[in-house]
Amino acid sequence: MPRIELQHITKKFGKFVAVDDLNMVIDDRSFVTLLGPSGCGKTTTLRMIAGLETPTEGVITINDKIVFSSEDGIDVPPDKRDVGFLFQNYALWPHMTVYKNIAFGLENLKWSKDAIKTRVEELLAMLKISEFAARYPSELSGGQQQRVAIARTLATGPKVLFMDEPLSNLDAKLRMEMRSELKRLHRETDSTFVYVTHDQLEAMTLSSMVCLMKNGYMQQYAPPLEVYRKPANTFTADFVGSPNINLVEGMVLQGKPLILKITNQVHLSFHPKTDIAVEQGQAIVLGLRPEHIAVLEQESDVEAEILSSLPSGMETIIALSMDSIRLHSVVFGDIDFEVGKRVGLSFGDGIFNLFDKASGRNLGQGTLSRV
Amino acid sequence: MSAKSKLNQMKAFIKKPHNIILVVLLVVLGYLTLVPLLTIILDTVTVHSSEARFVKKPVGSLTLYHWTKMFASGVTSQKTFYEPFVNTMVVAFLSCVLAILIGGFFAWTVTRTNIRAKAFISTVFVFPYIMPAWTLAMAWLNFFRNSRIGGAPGLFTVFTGMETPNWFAYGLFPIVIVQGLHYAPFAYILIGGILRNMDANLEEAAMLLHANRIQIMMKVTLPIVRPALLSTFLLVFSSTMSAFAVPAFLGSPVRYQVLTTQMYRTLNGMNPGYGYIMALVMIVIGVGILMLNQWITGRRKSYTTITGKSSNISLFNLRKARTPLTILLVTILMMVAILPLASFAIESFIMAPGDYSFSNFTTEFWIGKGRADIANSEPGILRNPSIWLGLTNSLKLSIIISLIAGTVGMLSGYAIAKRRGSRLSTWVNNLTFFPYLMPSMAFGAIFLSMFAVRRGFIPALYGSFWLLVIVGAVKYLPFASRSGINAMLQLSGEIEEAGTIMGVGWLKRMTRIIFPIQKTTFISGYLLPFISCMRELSLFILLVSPSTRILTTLLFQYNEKGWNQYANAINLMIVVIVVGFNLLINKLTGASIDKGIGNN
Amino acid sequence: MKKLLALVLVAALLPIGLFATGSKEAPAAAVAPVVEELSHDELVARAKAEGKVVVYATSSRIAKAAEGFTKLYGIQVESSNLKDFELIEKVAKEAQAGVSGADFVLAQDAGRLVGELIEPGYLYNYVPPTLKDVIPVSMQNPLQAFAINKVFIYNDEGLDKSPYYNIWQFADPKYKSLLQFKNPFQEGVNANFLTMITNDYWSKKIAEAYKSYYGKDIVLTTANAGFEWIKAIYENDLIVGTSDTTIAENVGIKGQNAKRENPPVGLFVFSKARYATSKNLALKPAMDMEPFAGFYYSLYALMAKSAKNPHAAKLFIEYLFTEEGFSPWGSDCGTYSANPNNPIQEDIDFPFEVWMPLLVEEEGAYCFDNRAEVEEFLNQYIY
Repeated sequence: MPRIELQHITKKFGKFVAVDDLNMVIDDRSFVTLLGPSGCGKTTTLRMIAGLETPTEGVITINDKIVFSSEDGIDVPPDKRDVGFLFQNYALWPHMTVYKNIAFGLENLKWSKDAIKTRVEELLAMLKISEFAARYPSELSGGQQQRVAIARTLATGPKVLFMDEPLSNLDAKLRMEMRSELKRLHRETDSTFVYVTHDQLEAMTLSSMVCLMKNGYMQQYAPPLEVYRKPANTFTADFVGSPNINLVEGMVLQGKPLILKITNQVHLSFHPKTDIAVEQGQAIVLGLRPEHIAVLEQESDVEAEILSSLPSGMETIIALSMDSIRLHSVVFGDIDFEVGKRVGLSFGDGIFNLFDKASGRNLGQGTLSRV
Repeated sequence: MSAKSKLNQMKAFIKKPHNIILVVLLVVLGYLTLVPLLTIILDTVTVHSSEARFVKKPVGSLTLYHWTKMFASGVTSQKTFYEPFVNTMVVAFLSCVLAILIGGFFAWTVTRTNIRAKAFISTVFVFPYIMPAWTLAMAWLNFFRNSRIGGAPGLFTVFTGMETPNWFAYGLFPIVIVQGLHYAPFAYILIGGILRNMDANLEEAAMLLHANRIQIMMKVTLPIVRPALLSTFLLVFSSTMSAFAVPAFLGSPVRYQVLTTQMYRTLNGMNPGYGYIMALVMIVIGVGILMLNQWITGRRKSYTTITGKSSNISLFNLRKARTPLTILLVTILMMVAILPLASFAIESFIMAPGDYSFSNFTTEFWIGKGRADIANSEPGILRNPSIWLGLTNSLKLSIIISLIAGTVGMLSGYAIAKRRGSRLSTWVNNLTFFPYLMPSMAFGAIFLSMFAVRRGFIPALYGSFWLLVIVGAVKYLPFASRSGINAMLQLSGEIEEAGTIMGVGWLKRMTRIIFPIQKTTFISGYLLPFISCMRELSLFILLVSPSTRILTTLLFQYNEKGWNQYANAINLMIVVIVVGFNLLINKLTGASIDKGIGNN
Repeated sequence: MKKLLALVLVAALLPIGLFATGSKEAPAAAVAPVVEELSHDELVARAKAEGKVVVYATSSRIAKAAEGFTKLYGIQVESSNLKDFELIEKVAKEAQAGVSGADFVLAQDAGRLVGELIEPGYLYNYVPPTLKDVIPVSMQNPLQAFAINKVFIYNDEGLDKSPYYNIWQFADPKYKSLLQFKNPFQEGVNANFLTMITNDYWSKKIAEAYKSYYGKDIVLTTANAGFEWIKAIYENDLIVGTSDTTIAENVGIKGQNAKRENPPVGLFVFSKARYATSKNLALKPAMDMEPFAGFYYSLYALMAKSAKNPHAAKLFIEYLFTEEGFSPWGSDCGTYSANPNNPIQEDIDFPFEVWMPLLVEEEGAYCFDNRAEVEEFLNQYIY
């Protein structure tokens, strides 16, 4: 079964290090997302696994077979790795019809004409593009081209499918539609998907595992909700979730029980779920997910002033000033707030993350209350 | 439509700078290209002064004599037109194929693989294009001549003791090789541009779908670049078809004639009427090529290969072949680009040809005062006032022409791209390209007779420097307008619109926004006319006068007189100047001829 | 919009109608200006007042002569070296355009000069009064400055006697691919030579030479023996050259005779015989050829109708006939001044009187009338 393993993968372009000592395991039939801002090395990683790019160092194993090893000089060419690749710009061949585009890979595998026909028609039907079979790519809309590209990639039935930001060229509505389509395909084709995106929402909604990268380093590799709940560091905390997490700086006022000084006025008591090793005076960052900050009319944990209120119907995003520290909160339901009003904030029973300011590392989780 | 609304419409039309550019270009280029064309047509049915005796009609009267002689007079037509015509087609086709194979291979290797020494290959590969073509022919003779024409044996025979057969030394074979090599850099520049713009993902997609190298090449790469490749083929074809000097030098020992050599002798000889018919035939073929080109690029399956930038170009790993292939390419380059130069350098220091002993070396041809018994007391080129004059003129001419052609080309590219799809724009586009199809020599001849007299407000330009400037600027406009159009097509219109909305004036938009963004492409539009002009001969040969002589005409004269040492020295000088200039521009702006005129 | 385009098109095409055929015909032959007789001193004075003279010449040595002229009289010379057809084209165009180009020319190719430049009046004849009694009358109209000879020259390395004695050898298959001769379409004087040998006199001579070579009468397939010889040498794979210098080098380089059956031979300017010493080549003229050893042509010194500096031009023409003025040419063999008092290179050359009977002459009027026919004829064989 196709299990992909990367060991100490490094890629340098001249002096620039695109990917640095990357280790990861992609399980069979998982849907893994490589997530990160542009230039973080995610596309390079994908292309290295596919064989389109040669790593500078490291070992890549697909299905227990070493396809690349810098030490042993092994470099299996991409066509022998039995992988499919969906390009960001689709890379449809402009001189072939839709049918020809899809049939191309099968022809290379020397399928019989009839078998090709059956398979292509099946794919055309699956992606709902049967009526375009005789058209050229330039005569299709972006969404249609996307479907052709997917059909072409799926045609040869690869067990591993790589996708490089396949939805970035589509409009919002189509993107939504294609997301569920991809999820359906993942289930139907029964194969492993590796997916590159810079859109955290896409990563959250689609994947079974998220690999977050920054500047060539892997930041966290975990299921999406775990990344959300327990980000490994301030970067992943900040990257995942919309609206963004509130990262509030402060310092450790007292070790046990743990009291955090946020501002001169605001001191909060942190109740760790597990033991946390902190020192007195240590600079920390407190991560507060907006939905865990409850806005109350009455006196509460802390006081704040409402700076703006953005109701969208289903929820309302509120900007607050807590002793001149800016916070965001999300309140569900169609409520609006009066700007300038003083309100109380409650941290209820939300789970909060505490980070070391210097390293950005997650120190541990806990609940908050007023001192 | 009322008169007022028409007037308003007109006002709106001329308020847009690109409309003004198009209209002005239409009028000026219409005049400078269609009038010559009509003149040529007229000349094919006119009795010229040297023809009056045998046509037996007064000078200036109309006659069909030339046409019947050329096409329907048995052996005469056969020898003067049909045979050279067939030869021309064969030579043009074969040299074109060779140029594309070599240029395409180098372009592919340099843009798509991890071959070493790319900068070197890319710089040196354009040398044969910079050198005047016939000097390569001279180099060929230096190496491969045999005893048919007597004299010193070629270097090949000296080293191997083998005598080269006639077919190898003269005629079709060497003409094709030399022209193929001369135009290979041209193909290299064009194809390199195509490949740089082609999305590498298209090839990768095929590779992942189990296509092998050959299948990728045959089924994906080639079909996708085919329209562009075909355009390249046609451009090179029309260049090789109208090339003159190489067949002149390599064909004559075995009397291998092509249309241009025939045209040269008839235009300059007793029956220019024949020459004009040949010129017309070549123009007609050229126009046919242009139409074919448009038909190809206008079909349903056509597509632009421009994708802005091709993301993630991954270089094809040559693995074990990397070093051997590098060595092979560098060796080939040494042979076709460096060796001829070295041979020119050495030959320019040799007194009696073929004798390479040290006592035979002399600096006479560089710094000598001139000896009566050698070359009519011609002083060495470094102290020869006529060479210095030629050098100054060549530089002046090339710079002015490149400034005019480059600027007009940029403006026309801008205007054509702005109004793309409109009929006006299509006309101007074709007009800017038309001079490319005119055989240089005929073009020169026409301008000579057109501007020998006062034409309206244009004074008689005969013998003036400005005649050379006009002819060169028009002839090289296609290079510049192509790169102008490419630069503009790659630039989204919004970029300019952003400036317009902020109230930035047109001139400022051009100089502060558009030019800086596409600087390198535009500068290539200036460079190519400069280089072509530095080494151009046939266009100017009929137009220069003593005070406007240029380096190439001097070079050709020396070659024709057989004073090869002087010729070799000048040739070296031209190559050094052009290469130096290219390097300078490259250092200053990042543009360079080998970076090319984009895709087309 | 359509109308607008049409308007623009009309605007673009208008000039074509206006100018396309404007003044293309040659102006009617102008009458040569009346030649004022001036004393030599007066001529010098006026020439100096003009201060400058422009000359087109088919010989590059004009530059050297110009230096001497400037040194002597202090008059600046703008000289340019053109090819024969370029010069003719230029002078004709300039005259038609009414542009003042050259003040005088030193030109070759009598065939075209006579018909295309002298007859229409673009150039006129001027004989310096001081030389009227010096220059042979036959060379005065049009005025010939020098004669230049092109003769059969062979590689004489290891030979004490010329292997070539009859022009029909070059038509003999035994001597195939041997004779080298510059493309007659490239240099008019060569075409003139081929034209001259088709006249009655030379065709008869050539027929006689045929008989003496083969011992039988010539059977004609063409108009006469002159044409027959032309056809025969080209069909015998004559090697067409592009430059006399190159031909001379190709013929004269040593070491060839040992490897070849027949020593290389070419028909080119005798002045290249000097290379025998200056470039260490083996070159010797075959002077005992039947019926001719080659041909000669002349450089004509002619005044331009539109001359701006006519007096300086006249002075320069006169200067060309002095020993000093001739020296750029006279310093080498193979050029013979029309002023018989000017010396020749006696070490290898002969006085023109010796050469003349051996050579085919160049008659401008005959060439102009008949060259087209010969060129038509050549078209069939040369290519």
